[in-house]
Amino acid sequence: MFFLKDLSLSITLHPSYFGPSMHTYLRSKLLQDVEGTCSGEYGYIIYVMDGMRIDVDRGRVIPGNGGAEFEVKYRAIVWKPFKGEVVDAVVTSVNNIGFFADVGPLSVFVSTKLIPSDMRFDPNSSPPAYVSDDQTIERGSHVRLKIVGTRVDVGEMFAIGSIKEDYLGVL
Amino acid sequence: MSGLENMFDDSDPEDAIEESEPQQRRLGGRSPAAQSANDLETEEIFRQPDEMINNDDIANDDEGDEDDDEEDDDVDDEDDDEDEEDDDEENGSRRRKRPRKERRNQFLDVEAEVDEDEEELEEDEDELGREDGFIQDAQENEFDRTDDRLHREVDRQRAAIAEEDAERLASEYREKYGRSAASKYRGDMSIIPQRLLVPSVEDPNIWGVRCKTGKEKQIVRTIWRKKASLQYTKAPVEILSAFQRDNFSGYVYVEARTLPDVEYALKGIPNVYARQMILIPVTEYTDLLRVNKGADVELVPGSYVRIKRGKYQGDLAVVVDLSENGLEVQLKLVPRLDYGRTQDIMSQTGLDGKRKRPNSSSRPAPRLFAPMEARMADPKNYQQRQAKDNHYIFQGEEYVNGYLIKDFRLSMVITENVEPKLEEVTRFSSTQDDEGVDLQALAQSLKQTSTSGTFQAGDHVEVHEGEQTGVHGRVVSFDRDIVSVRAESNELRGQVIEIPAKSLRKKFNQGDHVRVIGGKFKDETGMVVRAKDDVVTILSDLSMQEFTVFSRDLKEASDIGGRNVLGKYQIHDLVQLSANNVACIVKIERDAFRVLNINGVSQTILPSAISMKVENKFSFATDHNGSEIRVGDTVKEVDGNGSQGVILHIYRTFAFLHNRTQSENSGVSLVHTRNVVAVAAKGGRITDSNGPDLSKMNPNLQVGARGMAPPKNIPRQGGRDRAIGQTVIVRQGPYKGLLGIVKDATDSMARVELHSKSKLISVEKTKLGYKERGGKTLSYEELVTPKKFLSGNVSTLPQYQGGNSWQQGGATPARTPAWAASSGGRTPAWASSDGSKTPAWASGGRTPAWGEGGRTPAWSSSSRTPAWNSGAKTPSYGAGNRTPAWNANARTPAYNNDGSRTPSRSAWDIGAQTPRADSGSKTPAWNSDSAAPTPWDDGRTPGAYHDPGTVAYTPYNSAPTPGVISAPTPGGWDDAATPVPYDAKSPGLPAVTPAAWGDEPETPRYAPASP
Repeated sequence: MFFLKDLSLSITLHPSYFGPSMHTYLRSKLLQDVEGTCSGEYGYIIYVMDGMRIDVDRGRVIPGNGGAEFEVKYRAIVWKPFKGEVVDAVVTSVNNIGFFADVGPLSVFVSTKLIPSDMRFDPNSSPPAYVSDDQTIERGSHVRLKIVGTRVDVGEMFAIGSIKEDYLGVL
Repeated sequence: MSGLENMFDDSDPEDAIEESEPQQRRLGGRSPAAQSANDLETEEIFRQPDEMINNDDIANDDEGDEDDDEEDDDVDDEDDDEDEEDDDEENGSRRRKRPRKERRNQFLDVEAEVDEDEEELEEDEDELGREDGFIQDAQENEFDRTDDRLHREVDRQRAAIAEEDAERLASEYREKYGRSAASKYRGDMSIIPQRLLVPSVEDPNIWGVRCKTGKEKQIVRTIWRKKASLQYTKAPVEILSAFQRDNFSGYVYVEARTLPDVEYALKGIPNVYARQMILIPVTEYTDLLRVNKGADVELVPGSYVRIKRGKYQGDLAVVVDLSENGLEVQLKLVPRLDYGRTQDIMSQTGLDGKRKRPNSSSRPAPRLFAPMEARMADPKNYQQRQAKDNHYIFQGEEYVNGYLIKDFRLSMVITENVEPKLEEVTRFSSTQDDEGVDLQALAQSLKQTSTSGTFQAGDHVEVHEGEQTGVHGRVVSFDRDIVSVRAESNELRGQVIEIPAKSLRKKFNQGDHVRVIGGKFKDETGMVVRAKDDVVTILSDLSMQEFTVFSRDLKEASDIGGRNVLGKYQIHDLVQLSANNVACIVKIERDAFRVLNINGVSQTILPSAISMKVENKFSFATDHNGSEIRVGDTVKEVDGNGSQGVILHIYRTFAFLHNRTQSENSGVSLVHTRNVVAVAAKGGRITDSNGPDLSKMNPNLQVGARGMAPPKNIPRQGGRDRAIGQTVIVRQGPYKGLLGIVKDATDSMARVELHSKSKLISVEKTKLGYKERGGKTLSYEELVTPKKFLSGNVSTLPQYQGGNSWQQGGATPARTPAWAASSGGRTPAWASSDGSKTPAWASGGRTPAWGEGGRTPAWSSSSRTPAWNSGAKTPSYGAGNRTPAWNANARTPAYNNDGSRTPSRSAWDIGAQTPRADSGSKTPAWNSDSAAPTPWDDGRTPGAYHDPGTVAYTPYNSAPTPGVISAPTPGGWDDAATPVPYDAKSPGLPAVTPAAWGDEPETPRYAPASP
């Protein structure tokens, strides 16, 4: 699910960056550091809003090394997958134990146990696919799936999904 | 399978089931066989009234109050049963125990009183008693020392009373609670006190009769037939029932009024030892007839059992079928066949007339039936069933699909605590369906194993049998087999209910993150993909494989792990296998590692095969595009399937990647670093695409940010080191500013004796300033460069440095490219210029400087000369000599002759004697040159003009000669320091640059000449 979230980040700046373009440095640093990252608490930070209106506070010189620390407040679009959420995904790989699909940055695994029983793995097709009478799931297919569990690793998330319910499956 | 052939007419098995645990245990301790009939009889008589007394509070007024304590709550609820049992135990050793019990005060710790100082305690007790008014009989305390006597007396009294009143009490009791009344109410009361259902002395007795073990059932049947056949004769068998119990093998039990009835019933029946007969005490009836639910395992086809005895002792077997009478089971086993090998031995020993039993050590290992071997070993007893595949008869036994199918008597089979191990189970799995293991059967067998200890507080559990089926909740606490659960389902939400552990199972939901705590997959973690009843399918975190386990082997976990450490190595470590083979650990098994080695081959190795762990956290490599990749970066394969992965290790030119979505090798793969491109650097490490690191110095502000210049390469010269004996000033380091004299020197270091304090220090030569006589301070380079060339140099010092830099191949970057170009071009102009002895040369030659230069080994010296420098500013004389360009030049006869060997000479010569003449005459090129009015001859070239009057380099500095400075290759000048300088140097000379020459008609000719 997507959220608009007010967040902040503290950035340390070397004295050599002090000057008129300091804020530019800070902004670009913020974007580099934050966009596309993932944390267990907020999920993925997709986009930092209002790039020019990022609020940079006055900064504080760090005793001892001359650098300064800035608290940068920004508003970001974050995306956190939830258990039970239904999402659209693109299949990235298919094997005999199930298939992997990407939902944006998130990789979701759908086990054969969670694929309708009329879909069978067909190892002979190229590329490998799950096939039923009227549907085929192969690499690149678009599927709608329901997330049944998520796990947060360092810097990434992982989820397992199910298409064994009504209105789920190939789009 | 209860084994109960006949039942007591009025005993109720339901109640027997309700008997509590202690009773069961006691039963084991009191075997009927262990006690003689007489003992039992006396005890019987003795006990019966006693029980009544205990139960009748009113009648017990005169008894010690300890009985009251114990029986206080003994009104009419379930507790009775347990108390009764306690009483029984006490009664059994009554005489011994009673005295000690008598002196017990209900509120005092009697044990302590005995052990400790009595007087002190007495006081304390008295005080206590007075305070609380708890001590009821102060006198008793006073008599403590003589307790025994007193108690024995009381004991005797009570025994007497008991005996006297036994009958009366019994009748009273019967009046009050008599079983007729009890049975009348049975339908109404939910719970009937057990003791009211127990037969009394007036009921028929049960005798236990020894018989041959294993024949019990047969005997019971015979008795029954005898009774049936004699029923309507004159002498009927007056017994009420006959039965046997599986729990007590070797006995049959007969219920009858009198002993002669029993004897008559057993007369003439084989295998019964009628003389060994015991009367079963009434109180043991319940034990005798308890339906032991736990012990009787319902065998169904597919369940696992073990064999008790024989060749297959302890082996796991699968129930295939059950016989109709329930006495035999058909089992499937992995055969232990040796195909006649031990038979040979047996037949040999058989000659001695002794039959040797094969001992257990010679027991063949379990192996599937091998038809070929069987046929070879014993063809006579080998036969294949035609109709079916894989169905053989060998030595009278049946083998199907390699398994032995054999009937066993139930007594040969262990059905409890089978606990099939997975490897045993897998032996059976080969022919079964794709699940590999018949989990239902396994679950069935495992359920019978002890369930205690498998639950922990906080576990999410579900009730799967009994009234509360379907209720789920969290374990609050547990006491042995009783688990308190806080229910979470609708009606009971929030309530704590107590449930026996065996009717609970752990509950997991899809998506739960769990850790396996037992079994083959111990320590793996993963996410629940499917949970059905108590079978849970899990997707492993590390290997991306699915596996199925029982929920009892799982617990919820938040950490990610797996069996990832073995010894000092853990998963994904890079380990050294041999001198040139390393491998990455992809999986850790029980005692071995699964590794992917540098050849891309996956193998299983033992920890001992690892010589060391390779630590290479900081190793890096360049990827397909030449950018830097390090451990932890995400890269993508360029060719192949373009899979992505995170670099685990870089070893030489190989990288081990980890990619979660790959199932083979647990996601680890080996790639060549040249075949990947970086996708994302770890932790946003600064890559070119990624902006500056704001916590470091701003690179834009850094002077000379391009990095340090390479160390200066000062040409060596022979002979005595020039530095020695020089007065020097230290320019860098701790001694900076001090004056001294160089006493000794090596290539790079000088030993300086300081003026200020008498001390010899070692300083790098380049860190010294060399004082000249004139008061100037020279750098080392200046020092070693021939002085004469340096003369008049002061102003040119910067240039000089520039010159140095060209020697180094371009410390002044600006010039470099152009030079390179020019040198690379080896333009005809250049060549011609050299060849032609451009005005610069000429002028140089005329100048005193040249004269000086002439003395030095020609080319090199000249190259170092300011003239050269300037002229050339060109990097290059020295270098030039070596450059192909020069060689090319050198190839010209003129050069060869004059130049190559003793360049100086030739140079000189050329310079001195009209070079044109000499050289020119020899080479066409020269000829042409000479023939052509050389610029400087003609004085047409401005450079030539100036030169005569000034020092050689002058022209350059002053740039009077447009040709020289600006001209020929303007770019060249700017860019100067090129490795190729050589040729470049020529520019100087060459005033002749194309521009200059351009005017000349002859120019074109030069071009061909140079090569």
